[in-house]
Amino acid sequence: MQINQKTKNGVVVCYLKGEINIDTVPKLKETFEIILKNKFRKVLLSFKGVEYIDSLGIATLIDFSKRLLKREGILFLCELSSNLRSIFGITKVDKVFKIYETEEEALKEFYGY
Amino acid sequence: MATKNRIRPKYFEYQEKIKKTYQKLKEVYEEIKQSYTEIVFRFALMAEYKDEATGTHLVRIADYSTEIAKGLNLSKKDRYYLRYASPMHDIGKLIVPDNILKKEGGLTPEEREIIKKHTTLGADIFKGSRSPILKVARVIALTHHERYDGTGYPQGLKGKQIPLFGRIVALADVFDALTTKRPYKEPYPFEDAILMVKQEAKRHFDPDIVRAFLRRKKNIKKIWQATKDIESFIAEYSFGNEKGQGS
Repeated sequence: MQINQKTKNGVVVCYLKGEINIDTVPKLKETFEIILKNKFRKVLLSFKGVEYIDSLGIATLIDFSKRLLKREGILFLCELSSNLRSIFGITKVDKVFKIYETEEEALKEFYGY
Repeated sequence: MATKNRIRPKYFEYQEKIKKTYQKLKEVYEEIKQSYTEIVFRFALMAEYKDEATGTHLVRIADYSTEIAKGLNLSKKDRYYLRYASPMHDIGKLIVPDNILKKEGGLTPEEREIIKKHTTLGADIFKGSRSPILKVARVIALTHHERYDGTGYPQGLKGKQIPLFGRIVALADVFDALTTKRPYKEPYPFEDAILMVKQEAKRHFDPDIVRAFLRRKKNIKKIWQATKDIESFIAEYSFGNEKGQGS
């Protein structure tokens, strides 16, 4: 899994690529730890190029989202493939995350916060 | 020389065209692959709605089966097939009447026989498919209730007569049933369920599959914990707790 990071107007945008699974979640957790340590509060995860996410991946997103919320931060997701959307849909996590079609849409929404 | 100069720009033009076409084909292939695997999950969910209605069960079955496959050193390709085919193991339940599938209390021997048919009915749905995932799905639907000692159904296959993918999903499915809350029972604690799986080696399960499962115990526990976290977060949210986010 590849993770590239950019800051856009105070929003940390993480571009994820590849598979988010039990073998790759440590890398994702590491990235999240650094974001929390640096006290960033607005985080956008872009899933363009992510083919699959397993239960460990979903739980990692949930944990990160909870910790961000405790610091009054917020997590948005964008650019999910239809495959990922179906996994989020069947596990019902699509109801607990703010999901946007495009990065642009998500960023626009962020500026209201 | 003059001819060569005329050909060169054409050559680069064609090369560029081929590159673009290849890129387009790659994108279309990815799109078809994504829609295909997406449909697999949504299709599997239909059967779950008829029964337990939990999508996390499907993701867990895929994850547990993949871990067992890793423990058996199966190829990446086989693990990929298992991931997408295993959630469809109970697809035949779509055809089992609701009044039998959801009946509370005891079932008559005839009703029990009808429920057992979800295996052959599931296999019928995938019959004749040329898709590798659906071929595996057919094998799994048909054989995931066979038992290593030959006392399972529908064919009463014994030992290694049972296809490998069927033996893998049999364990993943039972382990998940043991560790999940059902209307008629509380979940068994993780270690109790592990012990029960161990005790069923050579009886319900192939001992080689049990060993592979135990080799991956650390990861199995992580998956078990992860889906518990997912479910409790969603439950917390759906009760209107302000901690949840989203729309």
